[in-house]
Parts: sequence; structure tokens; C-alpha cells
Amino acid sequence: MPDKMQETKQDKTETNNKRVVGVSSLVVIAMFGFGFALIPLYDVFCDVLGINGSYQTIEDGTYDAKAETERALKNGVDESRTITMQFLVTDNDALDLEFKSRTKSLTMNPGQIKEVSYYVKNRSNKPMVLQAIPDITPNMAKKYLAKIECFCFKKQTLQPGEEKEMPLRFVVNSALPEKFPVLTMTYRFIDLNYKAGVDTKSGYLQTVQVDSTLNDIN
Amino acid sequence: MSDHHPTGIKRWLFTTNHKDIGTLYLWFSFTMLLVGGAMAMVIRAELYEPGMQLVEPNFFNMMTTMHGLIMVFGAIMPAMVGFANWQVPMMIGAPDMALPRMNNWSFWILPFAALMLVMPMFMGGDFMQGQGPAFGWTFYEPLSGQYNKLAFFIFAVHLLGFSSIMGSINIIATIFNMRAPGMTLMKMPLFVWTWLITAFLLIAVMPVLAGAVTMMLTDKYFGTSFFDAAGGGDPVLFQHVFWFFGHPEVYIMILPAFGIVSQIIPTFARKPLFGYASMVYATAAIAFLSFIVWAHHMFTVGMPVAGELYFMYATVMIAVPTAVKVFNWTATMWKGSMTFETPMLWAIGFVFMFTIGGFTGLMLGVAPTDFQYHDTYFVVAHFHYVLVTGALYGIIAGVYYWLPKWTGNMYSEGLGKLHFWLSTISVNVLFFPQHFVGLEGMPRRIPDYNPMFADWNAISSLGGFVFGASQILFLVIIIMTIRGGKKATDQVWEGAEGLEWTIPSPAPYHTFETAPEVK
Repeated sequence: MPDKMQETKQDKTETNNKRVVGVSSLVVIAMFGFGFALIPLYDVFCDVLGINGSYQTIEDGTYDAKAETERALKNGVDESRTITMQFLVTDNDALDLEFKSRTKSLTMNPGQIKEVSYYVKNRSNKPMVLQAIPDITPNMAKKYLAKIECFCFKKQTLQPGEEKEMPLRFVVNSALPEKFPVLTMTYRFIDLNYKAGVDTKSGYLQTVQVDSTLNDIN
Repeated sequence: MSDHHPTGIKRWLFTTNHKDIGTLYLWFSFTMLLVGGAMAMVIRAELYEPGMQLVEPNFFNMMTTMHGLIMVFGAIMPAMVGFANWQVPMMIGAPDMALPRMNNWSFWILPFAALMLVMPMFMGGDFMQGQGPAFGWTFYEPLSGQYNKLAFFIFAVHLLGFSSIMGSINIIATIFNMRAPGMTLMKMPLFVWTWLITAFLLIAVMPVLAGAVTMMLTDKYFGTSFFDAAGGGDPVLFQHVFWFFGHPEVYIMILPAFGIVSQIIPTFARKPLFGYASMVYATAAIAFLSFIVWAHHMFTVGMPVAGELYFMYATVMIAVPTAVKVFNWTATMWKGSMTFETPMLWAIGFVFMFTIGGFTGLMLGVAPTDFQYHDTYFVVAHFHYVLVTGALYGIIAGVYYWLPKWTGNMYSEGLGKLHFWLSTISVNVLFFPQHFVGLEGMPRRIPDYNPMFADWNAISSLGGFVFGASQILFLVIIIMTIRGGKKATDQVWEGAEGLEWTIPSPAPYHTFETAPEVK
């Protein structure tokens, strides 16, 4: 009799162990999934909080330049005040690239459409496929800026030695709060060849494959 | 009592005995402690003077990176699992862990994971050109994505994760299903409680880390763009995913040490632990809060003010349950009949110096001040106070406390105390000055620095060399104790209470084959 009791107890422990292993494994799988679920959650948070939003829409191809422009223009031009726009570029040490803004700074009324130009030259002896990554300071002014046309909307292919003038046409919504008298825009180029750069043999083909994950606008 | 088991190497390869596996974990951890410690010595030697003296900058970066990874994943975490293996079954009156064969597997993954992690270090032309990871233990994208041997690192992390997850499931199953009759949850020793909560943290966050490195893997080799801005990804996302794992991880390292200290202090104060229930609830509260504070590691990344405020308040709130614990330890000692054997010295050292680390943590948790301290040596000083004089002190205290039960011999009290005083003086000489240079603006992870920081760095390095050397003494003490010494009694310590002190010393190979009755 005691033997039998011992046995039942052992069976019970084994069943319980199986249950713990089962439930724990489910938690592990769910949390692995949660790691990936953080990506859409992160985008939602960025949207709600107004951070990062427009860049991602430029990069993933859902930036609606027309709608953004209409929204920015509907408040008209505010002639009672001027704001200063500054245009910076950020060097990418990994690229042999000459990149500068033709206009360093301009003063304008909110609501005016302005166009500036950027110059880029591939100084290396290899073709480059470039994507411009935008940023703006202060961060919270981002939603008041609409880009009508931008070289950051699509990837830029540059042959060795090739140079380019690239336009940026934009408008700042006159609803821009007065606490932002100066807006600073900056661009940085990233080489889409960079992943392929690890493997010099496969080179360009791999780049094309990487490119297919990008959706061009226009 | 018959304890049939294979002998020689087969005993250790095939063992499913919780004591054998605990021993394996602890030796593995000690080995890693010495390897990671040797790397710290290289770092301190290079930083002894401004300018570049001994190593190449990339080698220096590799040392800081590997030091962090090895200490976190190789030394502290496996040591805690080693304690769990040895002590949890003995403390709850179980004959072994619930899943002994999985237990064997969780351990034997570890040496291979460690090997895979360090292998690239030896893949350069000569040693100084080693190609180990050199991007910091937090492996932030996009820098880590440019590392040409990333797959080694990623699969090493995957293996370490597997090992931790299996170990944790085993511990949960053991604690839930293997307790002796009468051992209700609220009668469990606090060490068992802290490990139960740690195990839950592990199975919740190790998979998130696995997800993060999997995304890095596909970014690097399969053309995805989770973190690559050029393809629509975002490197800041990496920091969020990493710290969602990383913050609970720091509690994974410290909670079992809380448990060890909560066993030791009542023994040598000869009083029951003050506020047992509040200790349990405080541990659970810390574990819960650890999930909702991660972005305090990235205050300077560019967050809206609302985010900064939320993460700041949530972070500072952790001080409440942590203070509950510190006050409870103090209250346990209050008016106790205290004696100061070696484990008690380490435990008191833990309470005192962990609290210093906790206070600097509060300073870092305040968003506006963090902008000043971020990525300086102040941060380095902070997390070494909580991890070295916190987690590691807890581990060393636990080794001295249970070594007589494990080996049947008493360690040399004189040498143990020498080890404590050498370590405690030198560790403060090592890390305290780092607060000063940090506040003055010395950045972390940099092999060269402004000469204005030279004096404090030289002092810090000297402290580092003494602290490093005094751990060799620890090794000597352990080996001497295993080989002989005064025989330990069953209870070992006059004030010790709990099931593990009712069995003979050394603990027989099989214990509690018949479950004890707990009243």
C-alpha cells in the first residue's frame, strides 16, 4: 500500500512537471513573438507621440507628399513673422562622397514654398546607390514641415565620379508654434551597397536584392 | 546510502545529479570570472596612464566588450544557477531537480556557447589583431551590424539563452512540484523565492533577446532591415528591444544575491529574517517594475518629454521596494547576537556597497542629470557597485556560507577574512574614484583620455590589480577547503536554520529520497 501511494505521488509530480514545462514553453514562444511585436508597437508609439513618423513614411514609401503639402498650405502665408531655416549635411565616414547644401540658411515666412539645392559627387571609383536619411531639429516641429519634392524620396544612383544637383522643395505650415523660430534640417547618405560590401565578390547583385525591400515613391 | 554513478570524466558528462551539476556550474562560472577578470586587468593596465601604451584601440574595445559579456553571461548568471542547483532541492526537501536530464543539457550547452563567443578573438593574424566583438556588451546597432563575424556572436547568445531558459523552467518545476509536505510557498527560504521570481524573469526576457539577435542575423545575412535605416529600419528600435531584455536582466543578476544575503544575515544575527512577507512582495515588485523602466538606459536618444518623465518616475519608484529590502536586512541585524564570520562580512559588505550603487542608480534615473552622466565613468562606477560589490559579493558570501556543507570541511577563517578585507578595500579604491572622473566627464569605453583624469585612473588601476589578485586567494581557499580542513558539523553555523542544515556534512550524493516533514 505505501508503495502504491508513492507511485501515485510520482505520477502526479510528473504530470505537474509536464504542465510547468508546457506553460513555460508557451511563455517563451509568446515572448519571442513579443520581441517582434515590439516593431509595430514602436511605430504606433512613434506615430502617436509624433516622433520619427514622417521619416519612416519617407523610407517605407507611404509618405504622401501631395496630402502633406495641401495640409501645410491650407493655413496660408503668415507674413507677420519670419523663421530661419538652416540646411546641414552630415558626413558618412564610410563613403568617399562630397555632399553639401548650396544654401546654408534662409529666412522666410511660414507658408511660403521654397526650393534649395544640394550637391553630391561620388569621389570613389565604384558606383554608389544612396539613400538620404533626413532629420530635423527641433524634433517637435517635424509635423509642420511638408516636403513637396525631395531627393530623399528615392534612392540616388551615382556612377564613379558622377556629380548631381538635387532639389528640395518644401513648405512650413504657418501653424508652426512661435516657440520654434529656427528649424534645422539635416541629411545623411547611407550606401545601400553597404550590406553587400561585406562580401566583395557578390557585390552589385546583392545590392539589387536589398533594394527590392525599398519602395520608391513616384 | 548507495550512490552509483560513473567515475572520471563520464561522471561529469552524463550526470543528472543536482549537486554534480551545481558544482559544474560553479566551476564554469569561476573559470569565466578569471577569464573576464584577466580582460579587466588589460583594461586597467591600459588606462593606468593617459595615451596608448599596451594594446591597439580595437583590442581595447574587444576587451571591454568581452569583459562585459563574459562577466554577465559567463560568470554571474551561471554562478546563480549553480547555487540554485545545489541549494534549491536541499532547501525545499526535494531529492533532485524536477527535470534532471534537461538539467544536464542546460549546463553542457554553456561551455560550447562560451567557446563560440571567444573564438573570433583568436582569428586574426596575431593576437592583437583578434577579431572578437568590439562593439560594447550592449551590441548597439548599427555598429554591431558591421562586425564581420557577427554569426558567432549571435549563435553564442542563442545558445546561452537556451541554457538559461531550460535552467529556469527546471527551477520553476522543481519549486512548484517538488516541495516537501508542509513546505508551503510562504514557508520557503527567501533564496528559493528570489530564484523563483528570477526564473520567471528569465523565461520572459531571454526570448526577447533571442528575437533581437535574430533580427540582427537576418539584417546582416538575409537582407531584412529591422535596424538598418537605409532600408526603412531604425537603430533606435534596437535599443528599445535590447533594453526590454536588458533591464530585467540586471535584476536577474541581483535577485538571487538578495536571496543569498537574506539567508546569511539571519544566521549570523541569530534572529529570524525581519519582514519575511514584505521581502517576498518587494522582490516581486522589483521584478514587475523591471519590465516598465527600460528606456532609462536611453534618456539621451531623443525621447519626448512625456516619455522621459514617465521612465524617470517609474525608475525612481524601484527605490521603494529596494529600500524595503535594505531596511529589512538592517532590522534583522538590529539587536541581534551578531558574529562576524567570513560569510557575514561579505553579506554586510553587500548591503553597504550595494546601497551605494543603488543611490548612484537614483542619480542616473533622474532624466535631467542623466544627460550629464550618460556614457561616462559614473555609469561604470554605478553598475560595478551593484554588480561586483552586489551580485559578486552575494556569490562569494554564498560560497563561504555553504562551502562547509558542500565539502564537509571548514574553510580557513583567517584566510577568508584576509580575502574579504583585501577585496573590500581594493574594490573601493578601484571603483570609487570612477565616480569622480565620471562626474568630470571622462567617457566610458575609450582607451585614451584627457591627462586631467590621470591621477584617479592610476589609483583606480592599482585598486584593480589588488582586487584581481585577491580573487586568486579565493581560488586557493576553495581548493584548500576541498582538500581538507576542520570537519564541519551538520548544522555548520550555530544560528543556521533550514532543511539543508539537517543533513550530514558533506551533503550525501542523494538527499531527501524520503521527503522530510515540514511543520
